Amino acid sequence: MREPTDELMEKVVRELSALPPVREEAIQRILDLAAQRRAAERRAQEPPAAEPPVHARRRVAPRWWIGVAAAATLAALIWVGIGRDDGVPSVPVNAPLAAADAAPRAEAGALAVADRIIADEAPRAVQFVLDAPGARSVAVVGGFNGWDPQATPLERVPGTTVWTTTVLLTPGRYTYAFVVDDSTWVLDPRAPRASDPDYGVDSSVLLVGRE
Amino acid sequence: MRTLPFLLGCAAVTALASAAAAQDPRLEEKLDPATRRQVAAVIERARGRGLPVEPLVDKALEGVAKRAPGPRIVSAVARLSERLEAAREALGPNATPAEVRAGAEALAVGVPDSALRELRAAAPGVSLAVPLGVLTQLVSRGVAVDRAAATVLDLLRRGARPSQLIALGEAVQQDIAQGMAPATALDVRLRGILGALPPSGGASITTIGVDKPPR
Amino acid sequence: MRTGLADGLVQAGRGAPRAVADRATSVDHFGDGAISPGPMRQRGVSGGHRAMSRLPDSTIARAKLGDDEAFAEIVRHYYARCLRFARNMLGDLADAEDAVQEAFLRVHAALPRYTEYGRFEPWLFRILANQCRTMRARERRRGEWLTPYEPRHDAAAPEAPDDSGGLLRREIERALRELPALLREAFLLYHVEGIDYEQMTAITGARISALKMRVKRARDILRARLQEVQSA
Repeated sequence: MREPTDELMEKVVRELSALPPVREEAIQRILDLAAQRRAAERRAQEPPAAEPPVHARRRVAPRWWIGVAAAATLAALIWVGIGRDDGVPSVPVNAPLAAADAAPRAEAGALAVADRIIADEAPRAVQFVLDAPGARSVAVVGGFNGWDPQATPLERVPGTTVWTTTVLLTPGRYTYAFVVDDSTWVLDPRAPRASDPDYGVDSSVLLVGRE
Repeated sequence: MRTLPFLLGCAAVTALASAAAAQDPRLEEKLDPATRRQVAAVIERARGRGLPVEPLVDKALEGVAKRAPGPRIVSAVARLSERLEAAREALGPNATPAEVRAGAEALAVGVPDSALRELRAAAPGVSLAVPLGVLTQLVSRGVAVDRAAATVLDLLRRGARPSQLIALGEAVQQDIAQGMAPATALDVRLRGILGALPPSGGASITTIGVDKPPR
Repeated sequence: MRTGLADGLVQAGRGAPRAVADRATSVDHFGDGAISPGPMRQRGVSGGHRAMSRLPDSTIARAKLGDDEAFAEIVRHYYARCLRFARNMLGDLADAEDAVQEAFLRVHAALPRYTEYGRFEPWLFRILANQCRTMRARERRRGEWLTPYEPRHDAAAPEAPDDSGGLLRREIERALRELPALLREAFLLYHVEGIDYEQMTAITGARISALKMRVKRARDILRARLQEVQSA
């Protein structure tokens, strides 16, 4: 009676003894991290330098025009288009392409170029919307707010189950998600999904910069 | 005046402590001590190399928000640090933090650094943050890397504005979401935008929307 | 989930022997009475990690003094085995990589205080086993929080039925995962990693009699579960 059982156990051990594939990159990361940790330790033991290095003191020049441009663009709220029943984004997909059909204005001179770049880089007001029946709280988290569920709460539109907030974002690509009731990670049903090889938890993704 | 040495001592201790601790108070609050030390070491090294560190802080905070275990956060931050360095290398020493961040995201989805170099060469005077963001999005929605990179490069050379690139990216991803093949979606939407732009001027076009470089 | 595992795969430990293929076997070892290392285990394990030469104490000593080359030798020598143990404990290769990374970084930080010459391996496995426990606790909390997500799976796990008995590796892994963690840990340390009971006491902090009991119970439970699957 014992023999078949023992063969079974042999097999179990044999299967579990298979060495998994080893990624050289993973080993290298351990060595790099260890070296970096040691370097940081050594630096912490040295007396602080009288002057911080130049790169640490570098200041970003105040971008006064961002404020001006923000004020100008606030007038045109961009709907991200989330959780609405009709499934149609409030800014039709064709609209920006139609705008693009107009040939770029002929411009000359550095000033005009600067104006254009300012307009292109100016923050856009982006509205996040989630229909969340029964939710007690909704927040949006993303790279723009340090993924902090306390930073950007949504407000419920009175008399509805729709939650909304508006934030200013400079043009670019952003990943984000909603956190409902401080406990549940919810993707935007109307936005594409961004896979996340780092943490294995997908986010929603948003392109900002339409006019 | 006996307080002076005391104050100096306090200042030295504080400086030492802050050098050893995480660079950002948000990390201080949210990471466990072991993870914090390792992330701080990566950030410190990145700062020493003149890389933007905000994306690294964000990456760590993203891990916290996603309840990732500490070692995974450390790995993710370390990987991003490598990509930021590669992106800065490809985009040149004058690349802005936003460009370096966007370049690192593009590298993460498989865009080769040669594509970053070509984009930089095609448009040395303008921010590549949006073109790189759109490229990343096209690739992550299934458009072949070569095709997506060539398209964005061509559009940049023709002087496409960031808002036009964004519109293209959005339209393509909308079509893909509705079931269209990624390559077809790009073809169709590209047609709409190309007619509005001048032919590709190659490397001679250096500034978005301007036919000749301003002098 | 993209794990990136398909890229840049190299085989474990660069020249470390494959444990499985040439493992000598004996049915005696798993008899209920055979809870001390038996002939199969002696021979079998020698086909696995024991065939790797033990790292000389001088390597450990150099690493302790801050020699990065020596630390790299340690990591390369033990990485594959550590990864195997962590994957068997956690059931996920990406989680296992995380645990092993953290364990080695802790070893690196603690090496200056390391004094147990000749007992490096149990010391390393103690740190790794602790890390696996921590990871499991965190994963459980995370799982509760991120409710809308599909569970991640190990992309590298083979799914085809194997040659003998028609048992799927997946079923063995499932049975293993259903074991209480302490039993799983003891079973893996003893039978898969080939660590003896005396060293296991250093790793787990449990007494030898308790460890023997855990290994036996683990075997009993695994047998029962897998026999059910086989007969089904």
